[in-house]
Amino acid sequence: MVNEKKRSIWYYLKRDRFIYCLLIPGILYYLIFHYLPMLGVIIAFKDYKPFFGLQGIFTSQWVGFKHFMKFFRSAYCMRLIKNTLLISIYSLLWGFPIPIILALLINEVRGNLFKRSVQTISYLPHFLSAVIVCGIIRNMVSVDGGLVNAIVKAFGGTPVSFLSEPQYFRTIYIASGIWSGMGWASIIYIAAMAGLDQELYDAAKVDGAGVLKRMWHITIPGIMPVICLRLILQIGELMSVGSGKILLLYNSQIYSTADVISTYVYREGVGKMNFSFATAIGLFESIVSLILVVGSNAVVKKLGQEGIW
Amino acid sequence: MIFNNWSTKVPGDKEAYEDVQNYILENLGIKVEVIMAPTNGSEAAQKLSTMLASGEQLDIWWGSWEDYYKDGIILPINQYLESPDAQPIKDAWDPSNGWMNTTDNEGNIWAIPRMPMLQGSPIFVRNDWLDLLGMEQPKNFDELNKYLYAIKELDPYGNGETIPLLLQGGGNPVANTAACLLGGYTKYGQGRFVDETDGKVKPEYLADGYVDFIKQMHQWYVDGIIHKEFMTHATTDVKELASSGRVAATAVWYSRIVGQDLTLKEIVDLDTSKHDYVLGWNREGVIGPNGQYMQCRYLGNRQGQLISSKCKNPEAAIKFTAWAYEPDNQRILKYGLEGKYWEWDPNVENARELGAVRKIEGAPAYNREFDVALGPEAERREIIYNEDGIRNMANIWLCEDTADVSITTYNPVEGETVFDTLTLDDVAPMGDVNTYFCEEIAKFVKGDRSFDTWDAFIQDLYDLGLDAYIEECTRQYNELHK
Repeated sequence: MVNEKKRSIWYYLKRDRFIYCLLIPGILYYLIFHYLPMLGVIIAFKDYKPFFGLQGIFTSQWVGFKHFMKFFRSAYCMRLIKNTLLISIYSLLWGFPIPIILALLINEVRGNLFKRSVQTISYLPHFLSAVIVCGIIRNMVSVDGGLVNAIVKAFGGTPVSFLSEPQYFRTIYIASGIWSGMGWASIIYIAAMAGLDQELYDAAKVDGAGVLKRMWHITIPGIMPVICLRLILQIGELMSVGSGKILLLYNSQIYSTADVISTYVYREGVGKMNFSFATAIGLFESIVSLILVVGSNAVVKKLGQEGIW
Repeated sequence: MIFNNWSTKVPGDKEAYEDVQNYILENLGIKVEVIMAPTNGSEAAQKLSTMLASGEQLDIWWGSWEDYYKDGIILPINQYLESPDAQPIKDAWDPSNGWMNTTDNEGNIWAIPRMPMLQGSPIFVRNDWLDLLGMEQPKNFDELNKYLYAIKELDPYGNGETIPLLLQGGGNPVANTAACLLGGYTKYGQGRFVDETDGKVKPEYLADGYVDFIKQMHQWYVDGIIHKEFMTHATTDVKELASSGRVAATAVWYSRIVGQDLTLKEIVDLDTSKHDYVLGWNREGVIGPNGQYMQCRYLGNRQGQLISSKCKNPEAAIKFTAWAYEPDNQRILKYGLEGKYWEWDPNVENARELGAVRKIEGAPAYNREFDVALGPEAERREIIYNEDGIRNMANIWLCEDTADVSITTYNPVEGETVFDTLTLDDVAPMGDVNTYFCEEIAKFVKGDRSFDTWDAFIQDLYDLGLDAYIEECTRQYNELHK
């Protein structure tokens, strides 16, 4: 065994300079589009308007915690946080396992043509815009010839205006989210399964393990690092329910369950060009998300799995 | 450079764009560049903000002057309106109508108005179904109500799918309906009013009679006169339903309806010897339970054509706008060059007088990039007839009926006061009050909340900050009218 001489980092940088050069576009991308804009977070503490331009970020008036106080003093602050968290938690509870189950099922499909067809069909909804998805939802649950109400009527029920009743909103939102996202989310699990050692399956078969046993004892443990990674990342997004789909579906009748932080920010911030307010709430969400990611990462590590750092 | 952020259009062929651009250059000596706004409203706003922030040479755009004037983003245009070139603009706008909404309390004019006071929320009633019932266009609420219930009973569309009265929802689920009907319940209709008991300026829902309006909506909701999902109906839903042939009467903004006439005529067997249009209206107005016109007068808004403070040649910006007010020029901006993109319809007698144009097949696509938002005062000058020789319903409404505000209930506080909404929002933010109002009013209409709790509802609004809003509105009103 050759005892390699310890060399400085500059030696390796010089030696592999062309390989390191490949990193430059990626680093520049993150610097320019992700780190540099972080400076803009100071507008959360200022009264900034978008047409002030870049210099306005620094020259606009400091207002301290005014925008944060406006949010926390709102009579609806707690309801907004509650609605945001409930939608996220339910989405996680119902939406997280389904792509895994779908990936497990697709992994067991033997006919290649059928397998690819199923995969393609399951990905398709991901490529539909929120406007189209919400249009489909509105048509399906409408009292005017909607499929769901047709079924309700067929069973002797009275048509229900689902998008006017707060108790149905979360179910509609989460179910449609699962439908449109499960195929796409399953890709990463299918990819992870492709990397599992085939010999493990062969050995298990020889030992008499059926399909379910092989899934339970080989596939799931094999993809567990990926599951943990995605779980941590999704927990980090608990506070950030996007406004796009909700704005297209909600109305004042269902604010009690549908109004979330992002829709409130849209109404009170973006809609009134109050970007400082929107940034302040975004900063609040980011801080909570960071705490959640760090916390969940620690829990996953305690459970003996790999964290994200 | 113009940011055409009023209409929702996509750019056409470059050749067509350049043809119109060169035409303007030859006739006016001004080279006009147009940037089309994204069709999505929030994307358009973002693009506009980005352009302004990045210091692009943007000269004209449309928006609310209040958003810009305090920060020096736009120019006051008083001096430029004094130019003889600006005369067509001045001629088009009555001093008491339009300019007030774009002038601050110091007399600075910050925008060329777009929307004048007008009649915009009429009640349309289907002519053939009135005939079916042996009724005339309703003159008052009782006749209207009788018709609505008779139609509900008759169900002429069939299968229980007739919609007796079409309404539109929105963020505030009753605001659109209030514009059409509230004048028949409260003294001043929609908007803030001075409460004679204490001299304070208050929102409409504190006026006597407002609760009766909501009770009527509730009754219609329970009785199936209005669609169960009307509060979720956006403009596209309303237009779709209005053109479906299911609707017996409407109480929505006029433009949602008048554009559907030709589609309706294709599916409705209308006796054209008796009626020009499927949905008719009473030119004498409809009187409400309180003896006033039910329809509230539309009082315009702060929107208008703004000129950037960075504009190098504001005179040219005004000159172009004034030029665009002329009907012949408007036609060029709308359809492109005569003879290449359109021609007077040879199948229509007196096509020129009737404004009947037809597209020339095979011409490059001109998508009205230069058709900027001048508003009804400019657009009213073009008369359009349908192929059957009947005046186009949208055109007759734009040119004639919208201008007749005499059959509407007028709100003097809103009509004669320019409130400083930015200060109002700062001193007395209404976010929570509005959220609570919208949420609870929907419950009253649907019957999810008892009218016995109306007083408690009002008290809740006060507790959320309505009193501060009333105080600030009153202060501003008294300041302006002292």
